[in-house]
Amino acid sequence: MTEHDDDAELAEFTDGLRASLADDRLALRPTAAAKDAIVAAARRRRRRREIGYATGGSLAVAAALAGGVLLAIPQPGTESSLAQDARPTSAPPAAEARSGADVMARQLAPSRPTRLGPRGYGVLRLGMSYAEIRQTGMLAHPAAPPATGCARYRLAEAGREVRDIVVSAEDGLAVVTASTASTPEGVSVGSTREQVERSYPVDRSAARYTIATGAGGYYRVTIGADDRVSRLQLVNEKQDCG
Amino acid sequence: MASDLADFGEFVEAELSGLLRYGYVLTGNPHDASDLVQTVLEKIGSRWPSVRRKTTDPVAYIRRSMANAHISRWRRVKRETLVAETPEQRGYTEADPFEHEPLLRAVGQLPPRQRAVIVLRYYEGLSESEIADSLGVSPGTVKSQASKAIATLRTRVGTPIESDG
Repeated sequence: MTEHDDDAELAEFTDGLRASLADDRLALRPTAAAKDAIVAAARRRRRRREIGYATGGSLAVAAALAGGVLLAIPQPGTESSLAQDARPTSAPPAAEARSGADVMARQLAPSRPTRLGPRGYGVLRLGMSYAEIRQTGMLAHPAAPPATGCARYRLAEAGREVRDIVVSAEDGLAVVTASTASTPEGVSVGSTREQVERSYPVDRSAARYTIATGAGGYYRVTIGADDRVSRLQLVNEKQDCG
Repeated sequence: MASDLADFGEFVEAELSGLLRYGYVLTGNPHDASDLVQTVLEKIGSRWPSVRRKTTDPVAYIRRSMANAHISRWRRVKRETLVAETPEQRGYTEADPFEHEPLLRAVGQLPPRQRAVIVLRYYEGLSESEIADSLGVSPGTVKSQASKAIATLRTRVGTPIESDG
C-alpha cells in the first residue's frame, strides 16, 4: 500500500468518525426541572462556601452554639440534593447518591415507583412486552431494538431503585432486580434474614427463598454470607430467562 | 447576587442540551453524562461571575472541565466498576442502542484520555494544541494519544466480529 492510499483511507476513516460522533441518537433531552435544579445547587454550593469563608476556623464552635447553623454545613454525600428537592417521597439514603444527576436525562417523569409490588414495579407489570415497556418511558435506552431471547435493560429512573430488568421476547417482563426498592412488606437488599422470615411464611435458614406473590410472580430472595439479603428479584412465574 | 444566577440560569437553559450530548459522547452513557454535566455546572455556577470574567467562551471552558473531570473520575471509579460486574450478567445481552454502530462502541471502549482526545478532536473540532491546553498535557502527548486511538479504532472496526450467538 502506498503512503498516499493510506492517507486517503485515514481521511475517510476520520470523516466517518466525525459523522458517527454527530449521531442523533447521542442527543439527550434535559428535563424541565434540570435548569432550576442546577441553579439551586450552584447557589447552595456558593452559600456554603461563603459561610465557610466567613466563619473560618471557628466554624465548628459556632455551629455547636447556634444549633440551626448546622443545617447549612455541607454534609459529605448530600452534595447533590436536586432529587431530594424534586422528589415527593422520601427514599433510602443510598438511592440519593446518583439520583440528582439522573433526573436530568429522564425522558418522562412517571409517578414515583418505590415498591417492588406483587405484580410489577411502578407502571411496569410482569409479562409486559418490550414494546409496552418502551412506551412507559422508563427505559434508559429506549432506542435499543427489541432483542431475541432474553435481554437485560436498565431503567432511566432517578434513584436507581431497580438495578435492571430482564425481558423475554416470548414471555415479556420476566425479572426485576432491585437495588434499593423494597417489597410492600419492607424487605430490601440489606434486610436481615430474621426480617425476611418474620415477613413471609418461609422455611428457616435457606440460602434462597422463593416467595409467591399470589399475582403471577414470586420474589426470589438470596441471603448473603453476612446473613442479610444480597439480592432481591421479582420473577414472572411464566418466563424462560432463568 | 440574584441577577448573577439568573444569567447563569439562562446560560444553562441555552447550553444544557449541547453539554449533555457532549457528555454522552465523552462518557458513553446517559447516566454518566448527566452526572458529569451536573457536577461541572454546579461548580461553575457557584463561581459564575469569576468564570465570566476569566473567559470569553464559557462553553469551551466547561467542556474542558468535563473532559478533565471525566478522566479523573474514571480513575476513581475504575476499581468499583470492575467489582460491580457480577458473573450473573453472563448469558444476557446488554441492550445497547449502538449495537449496530461498531465505531461508536469502539470509541466507548477507549481509555478515557484517548477518548477525550478523540471527542475534542473529531467532535469539537479542536486543534492538537488546543486539546493540549484543554487537558493540560503536551502537544506531543495529544499527538501520540490520538494516533494510538485511531489505530485502535481502525483495528476494531476493520475486523468484523461475529455478533450472533
